[in-house]
Amino acid sequence: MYDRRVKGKELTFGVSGKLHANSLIMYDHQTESLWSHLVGAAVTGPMKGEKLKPLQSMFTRWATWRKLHPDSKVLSSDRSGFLASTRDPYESYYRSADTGIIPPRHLDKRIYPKEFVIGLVLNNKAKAYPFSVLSRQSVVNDNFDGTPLLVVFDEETTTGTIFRRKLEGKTLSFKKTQLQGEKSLFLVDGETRSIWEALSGNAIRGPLKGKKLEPLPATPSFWFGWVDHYPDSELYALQK
Amino acid sequence: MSLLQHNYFFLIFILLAFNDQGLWGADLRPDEIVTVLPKDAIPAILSPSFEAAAKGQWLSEKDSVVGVEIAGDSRAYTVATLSRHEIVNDKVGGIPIAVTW
Repeated sequence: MYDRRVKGKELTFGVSGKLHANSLIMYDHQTESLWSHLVGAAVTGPMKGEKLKPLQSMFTRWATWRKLHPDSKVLSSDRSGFLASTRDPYESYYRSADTGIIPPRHLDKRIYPKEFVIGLVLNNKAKAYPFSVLSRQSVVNDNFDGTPLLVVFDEETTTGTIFRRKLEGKTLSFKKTQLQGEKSLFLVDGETRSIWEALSGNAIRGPLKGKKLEPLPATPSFWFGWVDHYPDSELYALQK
Repeated sequence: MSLLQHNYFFLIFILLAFNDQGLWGADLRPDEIVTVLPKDAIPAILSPSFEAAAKGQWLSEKDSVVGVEIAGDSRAYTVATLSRHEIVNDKVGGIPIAVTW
């Protein structure tokens, strides 16, 4: 998800019908430049070299989103005509071993190529957190390129979010905790013992109540697509 | 070739190499773009319309969505619809955004 403004100019995007390493290439209607949607950068045309500002978003299930944002609106679906259906046409592709239609340039088999990862880019350096690792370690206190990070993963809904775990100059470290009568994921920080709602990053009890961790723009992706665009990407492994 | 010229060519070489393969830390190469469909064969959404969450009865609890919240404005885009359109051009909390899938 990106801010559509580049150098103060508002762009609108269409689907070019082209792919780069199996990933969507967009074009902007204003300059006809071609953009990688995975990287958010223009590859050719007058905008070549420009980058869109990534925005934080959440890839989750409807029930989880509605619980976190009861006032949310939802995009109307096409329920009539040619495109009618509320089913995802790619459902069988997600489950298959197919890696797109172009042979990957950089195939890295440290994990299954079709596995989902949460990808993060900081200072032009990439790191991926695989769902298989996060499902066994749902709270990760990590450091990447000098930035202390918190990665949380709700296994039930396969929702992952990445936060900066630094608040007002102080680095916090988090552990999972249970709240009576609550099924969703909560955290406690070791420094102040405040209680946090994991997926929103909101402190709900304790000295830091009312504070919010800064979420970072992360990209859900298949591993093969991520590593084909970021061949030097780090890959988070299970900590012993 | 003078040392100055030599350095100049070296600099151009570095810039070219950096421009195509080091773009934003990613391996993006214009010559590896392939065309698989006509332009706009998959129609991006330019004027999205929305419903209140409470009215989303056609949605199931387990449907995958991409959600965004900017300045108190929260919106969800179902993956089923994103897969059909791939791009939604929207404005959320006053910010023009592109949701891409």
